[in-house]
Amino acid sequence: MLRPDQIIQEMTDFNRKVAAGIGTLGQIGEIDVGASAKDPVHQEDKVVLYHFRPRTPDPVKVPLLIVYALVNRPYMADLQEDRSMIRGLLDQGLDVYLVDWGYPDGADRYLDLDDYLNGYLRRCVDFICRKHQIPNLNLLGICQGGTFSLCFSAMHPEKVRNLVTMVTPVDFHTPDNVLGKWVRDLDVDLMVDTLGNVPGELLNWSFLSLKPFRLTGQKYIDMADIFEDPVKLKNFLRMEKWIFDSPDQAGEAYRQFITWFYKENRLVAGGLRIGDHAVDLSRITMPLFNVYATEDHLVPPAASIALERHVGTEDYTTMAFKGGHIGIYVSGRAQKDIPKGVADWLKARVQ
Amino acid sequence: MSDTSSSAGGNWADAWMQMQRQYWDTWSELSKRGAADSPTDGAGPGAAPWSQGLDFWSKLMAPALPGEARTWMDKALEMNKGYVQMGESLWKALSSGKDAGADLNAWWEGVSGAVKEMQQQASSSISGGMPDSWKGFATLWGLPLDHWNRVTSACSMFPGDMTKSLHEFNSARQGDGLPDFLNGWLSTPTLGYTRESQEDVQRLGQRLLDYQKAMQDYAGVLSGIVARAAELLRDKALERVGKGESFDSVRECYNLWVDCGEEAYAEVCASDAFTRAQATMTNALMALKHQEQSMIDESLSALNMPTRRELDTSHRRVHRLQRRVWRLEEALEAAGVAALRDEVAGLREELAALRGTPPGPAATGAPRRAAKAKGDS
Repeated sequence: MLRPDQIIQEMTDFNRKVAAGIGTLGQIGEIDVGASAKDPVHQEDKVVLYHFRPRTPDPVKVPLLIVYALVNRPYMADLQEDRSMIRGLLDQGLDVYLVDWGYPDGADRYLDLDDYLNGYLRRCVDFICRKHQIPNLNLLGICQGGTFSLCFSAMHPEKVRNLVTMVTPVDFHTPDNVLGKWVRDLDVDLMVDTLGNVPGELLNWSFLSLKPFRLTGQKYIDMADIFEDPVKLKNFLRMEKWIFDSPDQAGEAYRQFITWFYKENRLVAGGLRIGDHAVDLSRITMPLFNVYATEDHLVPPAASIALERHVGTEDYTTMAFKGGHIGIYVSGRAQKDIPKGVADWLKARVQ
Repeated sequence: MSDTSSSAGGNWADAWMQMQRQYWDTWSELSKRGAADSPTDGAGPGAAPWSQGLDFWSKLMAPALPGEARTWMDKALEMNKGYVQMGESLWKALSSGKDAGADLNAWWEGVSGAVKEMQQQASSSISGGMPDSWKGFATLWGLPLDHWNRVTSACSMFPGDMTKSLHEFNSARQGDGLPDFLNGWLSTPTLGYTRESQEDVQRLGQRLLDYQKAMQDYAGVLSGIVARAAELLRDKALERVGKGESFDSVRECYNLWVDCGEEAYAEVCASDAFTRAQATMTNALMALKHQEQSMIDESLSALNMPTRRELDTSHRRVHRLQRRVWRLEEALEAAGVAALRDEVAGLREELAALRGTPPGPAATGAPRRAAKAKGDS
């Protein structure tokens, strides 16, 4: 039973931790992210294609291209040595590439989904295929990057040998999709016409507002518990850096994504066209591995699970990861399960 | 303290810890004296001593930290303050009750008093409507709107303080019909040579009022969450007492408070009322910003300066040109590849004619080499 003197003791301890934390923060130095060695191999405007240096002597011959979301930065998949999905994939013997979309500025406001998918992404795919002298490659899309990968695979099925999607929204109108409800009455045309590019901070506000008391309150109280441990504190700060490292969104691409996907749900309802290409999920006939997180508050599991009903492939595998949208990359269990699960599935289909 | 103020950060920390020790000793002593002597009326080292301690930290130490670390520290201290204020509320409530530490019923009486105080804070904030009026522990409940204010402060040329003042002014004048007067004035027909400029100013005023109203409505929806969360907290705490359980720490109580907040928020945030209020607020801000931009463009144009409209036109043209270049490059490459394919096919036919065999199908190098090797053997 909580007594007044206990409260005093608890508050004293808390203040002591905060005091110690300020000292630790002053000495902690730069917050470094990105654990695995990589080289830029192709660049176009602000888009950079990276090739990670293999960590095994004879990597799988068909390379894997990772497509991340336009929202947030892709280093979440390679945050630090002991929390890196990419490092895990390299250790499993995969040859890994990554598309980094960069930070769009005002001059990029007219870039649309056609430019991103049929332009930048397709040219990255072509570059890799030319370099390796192969007709197609393995594609892994994360979150919005997964949605992009689905669209790309439906538009250019001949260029994708195997497709992996992770925490990917497919059906944007499932009842538990809060973000989907929030944009329903949003005048996205007025927003883009007014702001041009949509500020990353505004998107962050939406994401944090999904669980405001936990994500903008409680976690900073919990932070006091690790204030005196520089290693844990640095891990926390890396995550924090990533969460608030939100690129602005190219206006036209944002307008299309919100309207076509969130408002009109065209990916599953039909009628989606990007540039000159119709996007029909039934054209996805290559092997498909869909990974979703059971506790995902950003992309509800139902939004991902729906994929199976809409694709044309007969080789469809699902993996349910017990964790959240972020935990799927950085949790201890994810380090063991995800890279191995993806690599085993891929190896069985390329060798 | 003045001697140490010029010292290194470490000395500051030592001095602060020393001061804190004295501070806690004083309060521990007061706590032991019991309810009769407890400073529930705000006497003692300060009405909100622990949270004041964090204020001290924030002002003294945070500026000395490097940029990134300072940002995080500011966030942490802000949240910590809410937590510490909860400790203060509980401490006040429990130290004022008799035998609060010995009997579960007496303990619950103290805790429920603290919860009631939180509920009252929450209720008083509802009438204010704006996050800045959500003082003390209830600050936690103002987070979505507070965060919104920070995020969007750069989106409007009106500083946040001004919109807040305008809101308070409007609220204070609700009774005397000022808002009606403003609305009437903003819709007065304009006359004469500057009528278009007057219309622009009126439109801007109307957009600003619309945005204020939308924010007020959004805050109203959020304020329902506060009341619901406090209700849930009370119910869950009572349930524990019913089972003969209690809180063993402030953190435990705080975590339950956060759970209740999320539960209450989840009940509301997917509702039609919330989504409509949130979208209306965002749309109203965009309409305000749009009008601001239009007026700024007019002013820039009058000064013969580049405008946003012109920049948009330039960017659009550059983008269209870039697309044409991409398509041309690809067409050229495709044409080049096609020409090479034709050439290879022609050469293959010539080679076949020379050998006196029909030309084989186009194939990759490896199988052809294999075929040749087989033929050689």
